[in-house]
Order: sequence, then C-alpha cells, then structure tokens
Amino acid sequence: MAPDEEEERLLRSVALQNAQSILAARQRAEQDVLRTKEALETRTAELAQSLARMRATLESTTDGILVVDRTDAVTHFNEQFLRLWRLPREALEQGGHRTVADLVSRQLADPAGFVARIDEIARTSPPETYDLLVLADGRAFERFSKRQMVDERDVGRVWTLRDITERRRAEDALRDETRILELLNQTGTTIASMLDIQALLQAITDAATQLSGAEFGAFFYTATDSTGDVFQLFTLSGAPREAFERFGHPRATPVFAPTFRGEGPIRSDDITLDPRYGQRAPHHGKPPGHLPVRSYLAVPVTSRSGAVIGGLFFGHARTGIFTDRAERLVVGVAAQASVAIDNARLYDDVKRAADERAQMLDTERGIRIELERVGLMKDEFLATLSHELRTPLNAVLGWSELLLEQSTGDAELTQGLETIARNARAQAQLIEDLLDMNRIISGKIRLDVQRTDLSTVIDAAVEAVRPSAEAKGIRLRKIIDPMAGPVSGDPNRLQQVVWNLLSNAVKFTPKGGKVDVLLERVNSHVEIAVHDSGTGIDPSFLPHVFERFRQADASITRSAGGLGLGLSIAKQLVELHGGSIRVESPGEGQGATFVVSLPLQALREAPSRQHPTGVKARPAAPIEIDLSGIKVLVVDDEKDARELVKHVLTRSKAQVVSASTADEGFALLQSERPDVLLSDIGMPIKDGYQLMREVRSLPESRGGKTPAIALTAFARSEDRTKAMLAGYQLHLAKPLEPRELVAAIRSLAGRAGGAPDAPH
Amino acid sequence: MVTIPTEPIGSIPRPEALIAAVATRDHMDPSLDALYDAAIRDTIERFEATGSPVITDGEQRKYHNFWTYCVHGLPNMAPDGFKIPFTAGHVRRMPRLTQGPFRYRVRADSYLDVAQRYAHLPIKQAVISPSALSLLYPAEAIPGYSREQFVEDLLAEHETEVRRCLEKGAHKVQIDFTEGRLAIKIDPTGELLTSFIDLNNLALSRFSADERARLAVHTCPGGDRDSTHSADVDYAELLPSLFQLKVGSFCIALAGEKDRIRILKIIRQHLKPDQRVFVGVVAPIDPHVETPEEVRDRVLEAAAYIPVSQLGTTDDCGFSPFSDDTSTSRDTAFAKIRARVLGTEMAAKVLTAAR
Repeated sequence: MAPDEEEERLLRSVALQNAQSILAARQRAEQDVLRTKEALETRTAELAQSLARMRATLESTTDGILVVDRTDAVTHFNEQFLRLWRLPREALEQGGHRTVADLVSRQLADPAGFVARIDEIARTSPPETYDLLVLADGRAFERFSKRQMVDERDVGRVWTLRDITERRRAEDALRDETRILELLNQTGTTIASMLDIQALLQAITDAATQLSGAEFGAFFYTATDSTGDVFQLFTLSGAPREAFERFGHPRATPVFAPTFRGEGPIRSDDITLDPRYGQRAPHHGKPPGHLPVRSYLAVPVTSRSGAVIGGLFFGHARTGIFTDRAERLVVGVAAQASVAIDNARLYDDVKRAADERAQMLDTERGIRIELERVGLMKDEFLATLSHELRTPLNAVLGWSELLLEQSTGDAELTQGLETIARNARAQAQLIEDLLDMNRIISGKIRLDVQRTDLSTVIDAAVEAVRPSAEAKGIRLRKIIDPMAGPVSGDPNRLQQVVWNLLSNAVKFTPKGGKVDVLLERVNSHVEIAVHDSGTGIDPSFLPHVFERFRQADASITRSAGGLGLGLSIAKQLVELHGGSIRVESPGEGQGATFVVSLPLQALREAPSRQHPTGVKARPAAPIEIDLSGIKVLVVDDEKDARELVKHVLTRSKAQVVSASTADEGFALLQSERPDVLLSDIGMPIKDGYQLMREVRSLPESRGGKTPAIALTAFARSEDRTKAMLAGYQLHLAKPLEPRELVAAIRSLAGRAGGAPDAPH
Repeated sequence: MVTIPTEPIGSIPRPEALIAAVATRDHMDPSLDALYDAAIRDTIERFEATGSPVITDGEQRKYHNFWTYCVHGLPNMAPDGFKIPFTAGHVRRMPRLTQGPFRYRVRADSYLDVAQRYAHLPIKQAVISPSALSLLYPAEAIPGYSREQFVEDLLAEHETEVRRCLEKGAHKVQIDFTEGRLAIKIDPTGELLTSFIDLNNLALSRFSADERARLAVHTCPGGDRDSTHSADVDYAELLPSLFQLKVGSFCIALAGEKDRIRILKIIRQHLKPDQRVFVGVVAPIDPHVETPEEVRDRVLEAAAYIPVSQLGTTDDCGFSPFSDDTSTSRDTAFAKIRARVLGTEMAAKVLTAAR
C-alpha cells in the first residue's frame, strides 16, 4: 500500500472510530436530554398542575384577584375580579392596571379619590395597603394589596378585592336589630316600671313610633262622648299636640273603627288607596291641613280581660314605609303596653284602696289614742272615785267596828253598829268590784299564783258569808272531797270567786233556805259547786248571767242590790286561772247551781308557797296587840282619818304623833324620831310619795330609815307598787282594818327596833 | 436603511520576524511576548484602519495553526498524527494523543486578553471545533483512556474555552469547522460528517440560546499556501448537515467557489429563520485583491438568494491559518478586507436604494 493510501486509511480509521464514540456520546447525551426532557415534562406537568391549581384556587375564592408586574401591567386576574367590577375580559387584556383603575373609577362614589389612591400606591409602593371602596350603587368592597416579592425582588403587586356589601348590610341589620332590641328592652323596662298611666302611654307611643319608623304616632284612648263614637287623643309622638288638636276628636271612620273594636292590626302601604279610606263626610279622608299620611299602621291595645283599651296609630308621608317586621314589633309593644296599662290601672285601684285603708287606720289610730286617753282618764277617775268613796268609809267602818268591840250588850246599839259596819263593808265591796272589773277589762289584773288548797279557800269564804246566812236563817253547808287536790291559783282571788258565789246564793235564797258548797275532783279538774234553794234563774236569762251589769231584775224596784258585776268578775277570774264557770237552774223558784271548774295542779311542781297573810276572815276574832313603847307618826290631811288612826293605835297603847301636812310630818319625823311613820298618800301641796322620798334622803341618824306604811284610799295594785318604789315598806288600803293596821305597825316596829314579833 | 454586517474569519499573516523567532523556540517562551504584542498591536491597528466593524487579533499567537494551537507542545502529543493533504501538494501533519487525560495547553481567551488591550472595536475570537480535535485520538485505543472518556474531556475543554471567550466579551466566538467537507471526502457515506455535526452539537447544547446566538461556525475547504484540502467535495453534501448545527451564524466560503449561485440556492434551501449566513466575498487564496465593486456585486448576488436580514459578508477563510504561511502578504490581506468592507457597504446602499 502506498504511503498516501496508508495515511488516508489511517485517517479514515481514526475518523470512523471517533464517529462511533461520538455516536455513543450523542446517544448518552440524547438519553440525558431525554431524561432531562422527561424530567422537564414532569416538572412542566407539575407546574401546569400547580398553575391549574393556582388558577382553580384563584377562581375558587370569592375574592377578586388582580396581579400586576413592576410596570403595572396586568399578568393575572380571576373571573371574580371581572364579575366584581363588571368588566369584560378584554378590558384587562388590553390595558395596564392604571387603565383598569380609570375604567372602574366611574363606579366609585368618589372616582377622583379612588384614582388618587391608586396613584399614591404606585408612587410610594407600600408593602401592603387596605382601602374600603364605596361604590355609587351602594356596594362596598374591601381592597387589599401586597407587594409581591420573589427572591427578595419586587416583581409586582397582588390586588385583592372582596365584596363586603352583604356583610355590611348584615352588620347594619345587626346594629339595627341591636338598637331595636335595646329599644324594646328599654321600652319593656320603662313601661314595666311606670305606674302613672299618662307617662306610661307616652313612653309606649314614643317607643312604638321609633320602632315602626313612623314620622309620627299616636295612642288614642277609647272614650265615647254623648254621641257614642268619639275617641280622645291621648298621647302623641313625633308631632306637636297642636297638629291634631285643631281637628277635634277623630271619628270612628271605617279606617279607625276596626282598631278600636280590637279587630287586629291594619297596615297599609298607601292608606289613600284603601277602599275604607275617605268614606265618611265631611272630609272624606284627612281634614285640610292634617299631617300627610300615606303609609298607615294601626294596632289595637287590648287588656287581659279582652276589653279594648285603645289603639296605637302611626303615619308616614311616604308610601311603603311599614314592614311586616315593624308591624310585629308594634304588636309586641302593644301587648307589653296592655299588660303595663292593666298593671297601672290595678296599681291605681290598689293605691286608692291603700290610701283609703291608710286613712281608715289613721282614724282608727286617732280613736284608739282617744280611747286610751279616755281609758286613762277613766282609770284616774276610778282611782279618785275609789279614794273619795273609801275615805269616808274608812271612818264609818273603822269607828263602827271599834264601837262594836266596845259594845256592852245594848242589843239595839249593837245591831245598829253591825248594820252600819255591814253596809260600809258592802259599799267597800262594791267599790272593790268596780275596780276589779276595771282591772280585768283593762288587762291589768295580776294573779299571785301559788299552790292553793281549795278547801281552805272555801272555808274562808264560808266563814265570810256565814254571818249573812245566819242572819237569814239559811243553812250553809260545805261538802269537801279530801281527794280534790290542790290547784295553781291566787288564793285571794279564788276566795273572792267563792265568796261572790256564796254571797249571791245567800242574797237570792229566801229565809230558811239552804246553800251548799261542794268541792270534788272530776277527772283532771276540781269543781266547786255552789247550790242554793233560792229564786232560781229564768232560762232565758241563763246565757246572760255572767255579763257585766246584767241582772235578771233590772228594774228600779228590784229586790236585790249590787251593780251586777260580781258574777262577771268571778267568770273573768276563773278563766284567768284556766278554768270555767257555768250556771244551771231548773227555772225560777227552783234554785240555781254555779259550778267552777279548775285544772288540777301538775304532779311535779314547785314547793307549795302558802299565802303569807292567809285568808282574811271577816269579822275575825278580836286579837289584842300591844304597841306600848312604839312611837307612831301619823300624817294625814283628813282630820277624821287622823283621829281614827290615832284612836286605834292609842287603844293598842302606841304613842302617836300626828301631822296634817307632809312638811309638818317631815319636821316631826326628824324631831320626834318615831318608830314607824304612817302616812296618807293623797295630800294637797305635797303628797305621800314626795314625803317618803324626802325622808329616805335623810341620813339614818335623822330618821332616814324609819319604817313607813302608806295608808291610802289609792288601793290599786299600781298604787301599791308606786308606794313601795317611793320607799314605804307596807301599803294598806283604806278603809282600814284596825287589827291589820296594828299588826302591821307591830311588825314594822319590831323589825326596825327589835320589838317582839307578832303574827301578821 | 439596509445594513449588512461584515466580519473577518480570523488569521492575518504573521510578521516575518515573529515567524523566524517562533521557529527557534517554544511558541510560549516569554521572550517572544514582545514580538507577539507588537504583531498583535500592529495587526489590530491596521485591521481597524480597514473600516471593518469587527476585527480579530489576526491570530498572531495561534501556533502553530488554527487547528492544533490549543494542544501544541503538550507532552502527551506525538507529532505523528494523520496527514492532511492539500491541493498544492503539501501535507499538514496533525499531532497524536498518546495518553490521557486530554487537556488544552492554551485557550483562545488568552489571545483575547491581549487583543482587548489594543482594540477599539468589537473583537471576534475563533476557536477550533471539537470535531477537528477528535481526530487527535489515534486509531488504536489508548490504554486506560477510552475514546469515550476522551470525547467527554474534549467537550469539557471546548466548552471551557468558548465560555471564557464569551465571558470576556468577545463580540462573537467562531468555531472553525473546516473539516466538514474533509469528512465527506474521508467518508463519502456522510456518516463521519454526521458524527462531526453531532459532536459539535453536543458541545453547543451546553450553551444557552442567548449564548449560542453569539456563536458562529466557519467552514471552508481549507486554505493553506493558496490551496485547499477539500474543495473538490460538493457543498451540497455538506450544507444540509451544516445548518443542523445549533448556532446563530454561519461563515461560509463562497468567493472561491466556482458555482456560487448553486451554492446560494442550497444555502437558501437549508438556512433556518433564526440563522444568519455570512458569505465569503473575498478569497484569501486568490492573489488578486478584489475591488469593492467586485465585492459589491458578489453581495448583491448573494442578496438575490438570501434574505438581507439573514445575510452578512466575510472572508472565505483566514489569510494564514498556518502560522508559517507567508503566501499572502499582510498588505494583501488588509486590502482584501478593506475591499470586503467597502464592497459590503456599497451593496447595502444599492439594496437600500432599491427599496
């Protein structure tokens, strides 16, 4: 082979082998390209999908979106953006953002402001913006924009547009609803708390007018005049009263009347088109000069009882003002109003009744005060009366008893003295009864309750009436059940009851009759029965036996004396002891039986406390008490009383010093230093209370502790208390019992001066 | 106003002193720098004086030629590569790669560094194509360094060189693909050409579209000592494949072709819309210096087939692709260049007037 051919062959060999390598390289490159392409396609597909998703996202949002590049050229937008601005697609495909802004600015309420804002954002390029766009057609958009950054590079701006018209409407509606609710609530609270009807109706009218959206509203109260069809304007809102007053009262036209009949709401968008409108002469509609009314709403106000109270009426010059909702609200207010009006009316009634009751109570209180005043006067009068009656009796009884004690057998004289003494005692008893009755009635009687053996009580009472019985030849018999048992009670008062029954029995039993007193136990009670064979009691009078001042024979010529208080007092005293009293009589002339029933004392109780003074037997056997060595200062303005006391005490050998006034007594006390001071209470200038206070203010060395006895015709328990409080040791009621007085002085003198004890 | 761009291919004959100095020592000996610089400065001055809007450094430092400048003097290169026979009867022998890895010794961007110091006009920088260098790998495989590995290294080196030129501001980087017609000649089946196109496209695919717009491919039948190595190969066999290369511009030798019309028709048939073709309007291997009018007429001739918007003018080839070629003087070269510039302008005026 030639060298040239060899070279050419070599070159071809190199070239071809290279070609194969290149081919392989190309194949590898192609595979790489293929892989790259596939990767690219995958990425492209992913990107496409991503873009599709992004596009779908853009389209799925309710916001309008516009994307611009740095030159403000539109790069993306969604359909919602077009819809919100009501733009054709071409509008965005042809121009930049500024062009679009110019185009849509015509829709804005403030086009110049809108464009100026766009320019400002373009000029200052803030990272984010927010604007509220108000369109001329009432729509409202929120517009956001945000600078779009890619790799920290500003590549444009994304504009987002959100239609908030409905939201704003909802917010407005919510605000409106809240306002209405607040108004309703306020109205409810106001009218619920108002009880003045005039103010209440005004509040209702004002609230309902506001709620309905009316220009003016009125509440017509149902009232009729003599023609029977006139309604009085009551309250008005939104218009001056003069706007209606000059038209006189509205009449029951076909438009008005159904409301006042309670036929339900009437709502009209234009009342002038209502067939019921303008039917009545003379105006045939509104009178000239009346406020213009096209929209009309009327709602009856009906009470709970169903009666129509009146009607709420609303008007507006424009048509179609009152909505269904406004009607419902006003109906609601009317319902609240009816309850409130009912309440206010009820309140008026109650208030009137309360006023009347208060007036009555005032009168009653006045009467009670007057009665109390009169009662007090009566008490004082009775006290005075008692005092004045006892004072002379004091002398009569005292002297008659002294004389009796000294009588020497002159039968006539003795009988006379006994008669005087008996009548004096009877009169004293009458006085005592009157006072007792008064105490009982006024609730001022006090029982000295203790364990009381009724047989002792009965003994004492029997002994007290025995002289009277014997004088009439009446057989007085007592039958005592030894198992009767004790009772809880005031022995003196119980003795008073028994004495009263026995006295009555003796009084109404003719000579030669008989009176039995029986004590027996009946179950858990003890009964005292007083049976007589006397005149008996007419059955018709039986229910009135225990009434005050009632006597079977009330004539002036009646055979029995007394005030008719005894049985009443007995009944009151028995009941105060928890017992009862009854009377039985087969009839006139057949005698009567009085039965006192008292509860037995409980088995376990406080130890028996015997009445210290025991029962007063009258007349008791004369007991001589020696007062020799005892000096008594007697102070009494009544000379008779002083003399009687002096006589009684002197007879018992006491030394007596007398004073006719308190001041004199005070001086003698200090000069004479008596062992006992015996003083009246009711004295002129200075009474016995004051005297005692002065005495007790003296030192002991000057007689400040001299024992003292109040001897007074003020015999009430409160008088006794008052005397004790003033400083007296004892209180003795006039008329005085000589023996009691002597015993008392003996007791006090012994206590003070160590004189020998004597029985009380 | 019609504007027809015009630009050179690259080489300008070296001054004789330089040629003499380089012959005695390694072409990268620093002692030669002054001579190189003087030659470059002079070349650029004279180039700019021609009125050419785009210039080159005349490839004054490309040693020993446009083909092997990047590997010349490497230790893994043997001088016994294959030979390229030229019609003038001489051959140019290529070096042979003896072992891997394949690396450039010199990259063209280093020439650009120097040229830019003196130039006032845009500089075009020519580099050798990967397909040309692929012939360095011998027929027998190099142990431990496969042909595939070589191709990968080759592409990487080429990419680095081109990218650096682009980055340093070359007005255009021209890939010399003179072996296109040679490939047809070696392998009439076209398979070799296809592989060359593939290889170059593999390299080009490493660049972006913008970068590729600044890349050009130059093809010619070779030019050395006023002769060619493959002018006998019909352009019709090359051009359809050539336009498959992914570049924005093609510099195609046309002035020396016998039937320019036919070639223009082929070009018109295969030129893509985004491609511009710079047709050769002066022939370096022709001792006759074209007049501007002759050039004008050739441009107008080309404009009859190629859209003016895709038309440009250039030289058919470098004036001395091999550094020791003194068959054309520097004066002739610049005269031809001036004729190209003036003739192109004249044609543009004619075309403008014709509109």
